[in-house]
Amino acid sequence: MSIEPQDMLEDALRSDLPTPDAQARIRRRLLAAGLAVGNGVATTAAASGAGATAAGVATKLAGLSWGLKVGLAAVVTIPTVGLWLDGRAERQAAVQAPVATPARAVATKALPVALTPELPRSLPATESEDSAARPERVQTRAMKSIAPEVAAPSDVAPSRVHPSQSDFASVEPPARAPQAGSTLAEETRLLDSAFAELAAGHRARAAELIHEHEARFPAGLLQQERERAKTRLSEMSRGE
Amino acid sequence: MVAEALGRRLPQGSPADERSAVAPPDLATVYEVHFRYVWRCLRSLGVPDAQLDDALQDVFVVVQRRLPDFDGGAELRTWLYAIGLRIARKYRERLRREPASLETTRPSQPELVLAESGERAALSNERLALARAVLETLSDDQREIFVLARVEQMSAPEIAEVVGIPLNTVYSRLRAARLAFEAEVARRQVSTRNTP
Repeated sequence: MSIEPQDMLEDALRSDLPTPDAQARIRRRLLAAGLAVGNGVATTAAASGAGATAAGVATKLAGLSWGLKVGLAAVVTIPTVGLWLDGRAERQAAVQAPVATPARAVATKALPVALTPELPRSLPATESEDSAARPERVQTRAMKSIAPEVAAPSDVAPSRVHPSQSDFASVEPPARAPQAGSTLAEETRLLDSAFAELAAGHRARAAELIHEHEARFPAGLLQQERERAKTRLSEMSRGE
Repeated sequence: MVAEALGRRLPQGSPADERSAVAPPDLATVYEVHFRYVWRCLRSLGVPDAQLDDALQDVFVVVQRRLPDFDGGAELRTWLYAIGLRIARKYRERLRREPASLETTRPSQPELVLAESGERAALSNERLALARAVLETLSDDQREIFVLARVEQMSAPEIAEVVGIPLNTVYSRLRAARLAFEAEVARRQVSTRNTP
């Protein structure tokens, strides 16, 4: 038997790469899921700078605690709205647009990236319902809010060299597309919560979450993470 | 070191290579450089076309979560394939358990590369279809080793690391996989010739 046909078939398998359309479609989907995979478009230096700033702000906001986020949103929004009302009284329509636009921009930047990811944590079973019930919202976030910020040019992301667990928690896909039978989202939720409890020093609650993960997903995809959480828990118990 | 971590068989001269040479890999860079290979790997490993997007999303969710823990001890590419391999297993298992799950997802859309035109493209697609059909006949263990070695061109030690088996087992499985692949190709050639 000649070896040549096998080589040709192997070549065919090696040449089996995604089309640009497929790549773009999946990139959009990952962006919608909150993954900072970049926008794949060459940008000017100015645009890169602006993108870097936006992504940097978004990343920093995402790392803040819930209370700080709310406080920060209030600090930014209240004076801006006040300014807007003043300007409206004095100069009517001419002033409204430029002042109102930043206020809206702050709201759309801060909410999807920094604030809303907290919501699914308190609603364990809502992820699939949420995304199934609000498909339009998913698309809107992806295309209008998240994409321009998180999907900034790929040279933006190195600013988060060693992101913490909370970085991941905040960009964890709140609007992830529904996946029939996928357990990854639930595994992620459980272990994220466990790590958060560990970070807060709540060992008992962390242990509960780890055990729940172990009971429900004994051979889950995030087994190694669970072991890491266990190790950290035992280190904390020993007072290390 | 980072360039090394990004995989030594990367396409040369891409902008992503230059970026990664001065900064640690971030998700966007990993995606830019490796997405196509992860895509190919998942397909070759038997993730159904209809569920490929879901599987890719799962891979990159895991990558995002684990990337800070990546210490450069292995090549990034090896590390990525280890994740892809486990996700692919999960999808294959699901397909076996719930064959009907395919009907509820996106209909199959073959993503064949049609850079060439006419007969040449048709021939490439025919070969690809045959190669994928032959892969389907291998056992899961053989298929994984065959794809990593012959398609992704990983070394045996790398494969041992990705799959988590001894080096000798890699060699023996690869040998068996190649023989099985050749035999299936030959069988199909004979049956094609005998078809009136």
